[in-house]
Amino acid sequence: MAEPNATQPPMDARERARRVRRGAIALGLVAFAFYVAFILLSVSGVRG
Amino acid sequence: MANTTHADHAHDHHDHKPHGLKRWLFATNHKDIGTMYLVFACLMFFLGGSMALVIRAELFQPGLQFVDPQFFNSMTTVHALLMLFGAVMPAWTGLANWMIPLQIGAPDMALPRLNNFSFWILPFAFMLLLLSFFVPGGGPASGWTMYPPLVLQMGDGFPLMIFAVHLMGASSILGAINVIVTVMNMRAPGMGLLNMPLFCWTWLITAYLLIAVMPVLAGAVTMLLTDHFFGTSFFNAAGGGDPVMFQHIFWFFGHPEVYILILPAFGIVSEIIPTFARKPLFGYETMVYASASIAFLSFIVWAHHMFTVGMPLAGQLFFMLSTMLIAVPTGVKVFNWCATMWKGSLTFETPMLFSIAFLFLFTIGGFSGLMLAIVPADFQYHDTYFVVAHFHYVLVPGAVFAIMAGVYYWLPKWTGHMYDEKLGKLHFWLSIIGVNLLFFPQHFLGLAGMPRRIPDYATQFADWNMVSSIGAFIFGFSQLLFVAVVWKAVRGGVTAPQRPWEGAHGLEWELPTPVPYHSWDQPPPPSVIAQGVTH
Repeated sequence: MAEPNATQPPMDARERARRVRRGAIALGLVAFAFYVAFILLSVSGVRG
Repeated sequence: MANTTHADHAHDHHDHKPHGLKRWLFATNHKDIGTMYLVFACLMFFLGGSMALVIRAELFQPGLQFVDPQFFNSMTTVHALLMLFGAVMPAWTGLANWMIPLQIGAPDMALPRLNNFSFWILPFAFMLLLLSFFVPGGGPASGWTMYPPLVLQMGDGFPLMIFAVHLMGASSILGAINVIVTVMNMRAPGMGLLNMPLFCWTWLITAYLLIAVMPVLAGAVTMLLTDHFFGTSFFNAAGGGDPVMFQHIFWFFGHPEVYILILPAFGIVSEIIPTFARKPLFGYETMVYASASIAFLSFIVWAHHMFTVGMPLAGQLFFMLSTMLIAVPTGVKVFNWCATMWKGSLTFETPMLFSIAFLFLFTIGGFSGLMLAIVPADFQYHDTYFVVAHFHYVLVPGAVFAIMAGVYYWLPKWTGHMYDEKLGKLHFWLSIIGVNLLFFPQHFLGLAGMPRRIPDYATQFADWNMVSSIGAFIFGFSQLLFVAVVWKAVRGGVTAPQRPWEGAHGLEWELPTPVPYHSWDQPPPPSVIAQGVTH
């Protein structure tokens, strides 16, 4: 059981926007990497 | 009181909303986008449902009655695509849009314009898919799994279907990114990850699954496209490719997809059962870890869909045992829901009825899944109606019932009016009778050897097919009651109090009813968060 953490400082709006943007781009890149990786794996599968 | 102050504040300054078409076309408000997702999902549910009724009408008795076999195959294929990508997934995204910001104390989703974009991709995706019925060669008829070489024999509708699947995937990925960054960055100060309601947790895990597997589906269909149009041979044996490789890639997406469809259901049921049992959820943290374990295990079980394709004995054993392992965290969940109800002050309003039905019927689907996981047994059951019965038990009284439970549960909060409880209960009882008449006999048909995806069958299967079709029509038409109940509540009715369910806890219930257009523009104070956290 976790108690609500009242001491956690509120995040600055600009810092939050930066984290959101950075997080979204990172996740988008991860998704794109999965897309490319499976196609590349299949290319090597075809050759193998 | 903090929440009263918030309510006044909201009504004074922040209830301005755009009007007319612009409000929906350029929507960035999470509630508007959530509503659009839910309405879209409802439309697709009825469209996909009408295709199911075509299938069941054709199967009412042996022989070819209404449609030719090619069109029948198109019906099974497009019914699946519409229900999975058009109805259930958008319904979850709609509920996520509505509820996640309210439950974590955020003013909106982190990326509102991306949110708008991910919704508006969907109508175009499904227009393309449905357009394929009107081009030479007709709609997709290869089954939703799109196995080559069959799918490559499609007519001019092939690129339309592939493009549609790409768009659906893109929409899901963008939606998932939004959910993750919202949960990770927009929680109110004091709202720790382990303070979040289970619905937010299961959606967060679902979003990670989406990011990992939707691109895999996109990769697979891109390769189908290049095989068809650009002379590659990924899946063409004549050119050195391997059609079985498609199956591996597809199911690497396909099995986690099952959990994408069901994990948010676990979250909703984990909210509703404690409310109507008037007890905190039993084992909150184990629920979180069980959800994460299920998500992890979903990546290492894909080949259980392919036992009959052929694989080494070690592979069969691995995939059989890993599949059975999923029963452990799932069992933890079922135990926790039962333990939550144990000695609770239970009442049986419509959301609770749907949740209890979910608990029983999803478990039946889980058990038949365990039967299918046993390799030698699977050789008998594979591609029979037993499989159809299994996954429909997981997805209809599983995912669809949980969506309905969620809508009934939060409808008073959204609309400000109580729904008609009598009509809701009638909807529930007709649904549960219909759904069991529809799918339970399909177990018998499958065990007796009736193959799936066929428009005609031997006369020995006639009786149970007739029962199943009658169940389909009862279930299908009773869903009109659901629309009637929702419509009635949207239009008016008894005014709902701030907390319509006395056992409800969570930040969404701290807001006024109906929820103002702009909510939590000031984060809730820790005391309000503490009030909402009961686990």
